[in-house]
Amino acid sequence: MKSIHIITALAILTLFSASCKKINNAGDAEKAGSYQVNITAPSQLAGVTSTQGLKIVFENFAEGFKLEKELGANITTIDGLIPGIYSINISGRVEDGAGDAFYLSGSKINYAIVKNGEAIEIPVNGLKVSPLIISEIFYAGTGASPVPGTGTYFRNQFYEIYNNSDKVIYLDGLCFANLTPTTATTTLPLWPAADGSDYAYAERIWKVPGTGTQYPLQAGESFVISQFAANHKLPQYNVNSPVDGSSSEFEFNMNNANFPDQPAVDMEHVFYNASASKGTLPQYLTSVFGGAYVIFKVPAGETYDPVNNANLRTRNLAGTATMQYAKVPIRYILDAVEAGNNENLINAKRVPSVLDAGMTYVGATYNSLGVARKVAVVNADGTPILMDTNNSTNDFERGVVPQFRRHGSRMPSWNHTIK
Amino acid sequence: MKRIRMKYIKNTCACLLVVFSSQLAIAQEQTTGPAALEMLSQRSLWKKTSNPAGLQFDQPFQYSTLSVGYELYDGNFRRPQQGGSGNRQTVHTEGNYRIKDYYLSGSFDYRRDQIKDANYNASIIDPFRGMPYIIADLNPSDWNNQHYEMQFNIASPAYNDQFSFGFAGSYKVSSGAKQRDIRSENYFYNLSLSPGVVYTPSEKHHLGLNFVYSNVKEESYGSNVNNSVDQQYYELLGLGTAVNYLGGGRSNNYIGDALGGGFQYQYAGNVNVLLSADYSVEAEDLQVSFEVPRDGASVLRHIWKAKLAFIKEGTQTSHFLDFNYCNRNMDGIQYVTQRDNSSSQMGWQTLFKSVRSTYSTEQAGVQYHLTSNKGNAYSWKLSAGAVYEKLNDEYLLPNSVKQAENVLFNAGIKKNLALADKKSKQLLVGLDLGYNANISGVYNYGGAHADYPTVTGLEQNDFRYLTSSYASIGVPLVYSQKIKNDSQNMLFIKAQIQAQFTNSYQFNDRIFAGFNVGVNF
Repeated sequence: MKSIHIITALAILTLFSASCKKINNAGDAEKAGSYQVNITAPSQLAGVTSTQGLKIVFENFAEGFKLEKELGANITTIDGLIPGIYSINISGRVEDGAGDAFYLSGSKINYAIVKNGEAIEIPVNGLKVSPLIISEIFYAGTGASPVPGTGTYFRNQFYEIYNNSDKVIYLDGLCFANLTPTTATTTLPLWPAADGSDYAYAERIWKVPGTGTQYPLQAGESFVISQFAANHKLPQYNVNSPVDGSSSEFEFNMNNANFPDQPAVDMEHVFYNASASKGTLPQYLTSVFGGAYVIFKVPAGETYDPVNNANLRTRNLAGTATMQYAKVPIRYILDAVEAGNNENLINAKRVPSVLDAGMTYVGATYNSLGVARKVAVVNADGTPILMDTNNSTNDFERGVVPQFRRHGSRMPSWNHTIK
Repeated sequence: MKRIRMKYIKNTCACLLVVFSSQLAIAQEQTTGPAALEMLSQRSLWKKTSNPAGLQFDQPFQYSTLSVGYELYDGNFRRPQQGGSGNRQTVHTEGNYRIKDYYLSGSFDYRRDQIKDANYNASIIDPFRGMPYIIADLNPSDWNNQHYEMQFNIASPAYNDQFSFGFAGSYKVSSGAKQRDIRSENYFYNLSLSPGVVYTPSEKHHLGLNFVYSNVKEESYGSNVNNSVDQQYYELLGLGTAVNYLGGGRSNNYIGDALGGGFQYQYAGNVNVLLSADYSVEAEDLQVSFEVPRDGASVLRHIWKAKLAFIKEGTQTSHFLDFNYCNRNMDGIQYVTQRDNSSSQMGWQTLFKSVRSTYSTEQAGVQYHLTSNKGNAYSWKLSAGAVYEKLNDEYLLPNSVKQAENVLFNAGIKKNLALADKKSKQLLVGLDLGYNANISGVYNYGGAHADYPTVTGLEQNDFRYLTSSYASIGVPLVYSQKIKNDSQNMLFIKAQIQAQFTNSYQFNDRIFAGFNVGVNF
């Protein structure tokens, strides 16, 4: 009888203590107020000592909160921040002592502002400007077609790459890769600590074929790589498709008899799961929610062979899966664009902020909408200079109807449709 | 899930057996009509408190009842998260019994709800239970819900003629399923226990004290059946503030505890007076995902209730006067979390928490009933009352407010007609009239996404509903008779219809109708 009393008393005590814990935890919370932080932004660029006048932008995507301010001489105090997770970006032009202009940028992505009065240092450096940039991406696919037997359609995915420089660029050997995780997720992989921040991690890599000078891209020209370079508007594909992909320069041909090889040049397969073989998948589909894409070129005199060089690949150390991913050295990468479900997936970034400090999105799947880079300046010949601040949140127009070669960009002379 | 469902069914069957077996025993002793049971309820002051120790002071006669019912409703005068229409099937049984000097009572309720075209809810069975952190999607959808509720009360005799002890418990189980993408499959339970004591210093004075512990849990699993179409959905943070996502929803795990207590004082003289006051504090946490849980949000509710009731009974007429007050203040707590993908952690870290929203509901009401007595029932009954309600919700940063003030007036009359002496055939006819006068209201959304449907569709329409004046009319009818002339068992058939009419531009009306058949033992 005594033991029953003891057990009952213990049970009541446990119950009471568990309840109190929950109530006390909730009771500890204080009413939210606005926070202040103190920013310093030291220049890492030789010759530039002051970052005064650069624009600093705080964005809390979940809250829809955005605050912009100019940096002061030393410490800049920012008021009125809601505690939360922020993307902090600094950018702008400054002049050195000799009067030369530089475009500087610096960022902190997914930074938790939870301490009032915190001092935050954000180093800024010269912005790496790429001559080749990804100018348009259509990844979302198209909704079900009214034609019986056809459904949602994703084979009309394409990636357009633009020569944003004033020089001819040879595409031969240019690599295209999608990074892992294929779909944005906060459950990010765990990579070898020794890699530091020197690599991006690719699931599959393709390469533009060629002898070295076979595919020149003039300034103001762009080329398109399609998943499947057919006229998607045909009834057997999807009559609602917004694009006819048959004028694409390249395609990712996966040797699927149901979606036969098209006149576009086939991209050369480089890497998938430590193999040069394409594998058995019937298509090269990147996520219809939005993937992370990079274009890169191996510098002359270097070799890059992640299939045969085990040091250039790794598995995700967070689990036991043996799938191998290629390590793409950051210094090879010309451009990177990160796309996700919507702005709130920025807390799941896969691309290092030095390559892309933001994220673009179309907000839905199979909505026939894409993203296209904004125009910064128009050249005298009518071709655009596209915006490239390494922040795809700002650089891209979202939810546009996909279109090849918009804003007056031109088709290369070797396109199969004009040969 | 199947195992959990089987467990519910077994528990339910076991409880039904207990309740029914007690009813069969009671059936030998009492005959009760609907009006008599209504009067018993009206006279049972301690039954309306949270202290079971005082139940014997209500001097209830023994009874049991079993009924089944069907109810339906339709009309666009509703809150957005309520069904456009719907129906429910109900089973209700309750009874009381005495074992020596101990008093026992219990009840069981089953309800199957078919809710049609409810909006902005893809994660919770009851979106009005005081949990603002839910998932809202954009597809009006049916919900199929089932509810089971079992209650028991035990009251001891007075030891030394001074101390009575009591214990009450209730166990509610619900399951629910949303019928359109984003689908949500939900399981809910609530366990509540309340021990109490009443001290009787003299025959006319009783002082009561009780403690309440309650535990609640709801699990919600979201998914899409049509995997080709990813759905837009919103994580509601309060007053229209929301975070939008794309996909198949998510799994939410709500876990809450409540502690509270009550104080009662009764004076049982020429006038029967009962004063009661209750306070409880409830904390409920939302954890997102079961695999790698993340602190989603919490709420902390402080609830005050007070009641002052007077009963003056005469041989011809009786007067009942109740004053009620209820105040619920709730803090909505949000967390700043970040995923830690390092090998040592691999989970969500909570970095910060703060109160981001506050919700306050205040109610004060008075209700008066006058009855013309007829045995232990009534011949006729007049009722009148008014309830003032004030809602004051605020999202602190960025600031949004939602306020509404209403007064609901009601009046009613019931006549208990004796149709025939044979089998004691009776017809209870009533008329209830109500008018809700809106006094004031404001909704200002100050967040970043004024174009979100959580603002334009959910909150603005909810605000319009809450600030609409409306009139209501209801007609309850109860026919009853003994099953046999010499039987104590009373068969009854209940029908009620109620209509609400508003002059709001956005709404028209809402109709409720119900039908019950049952037996009082």
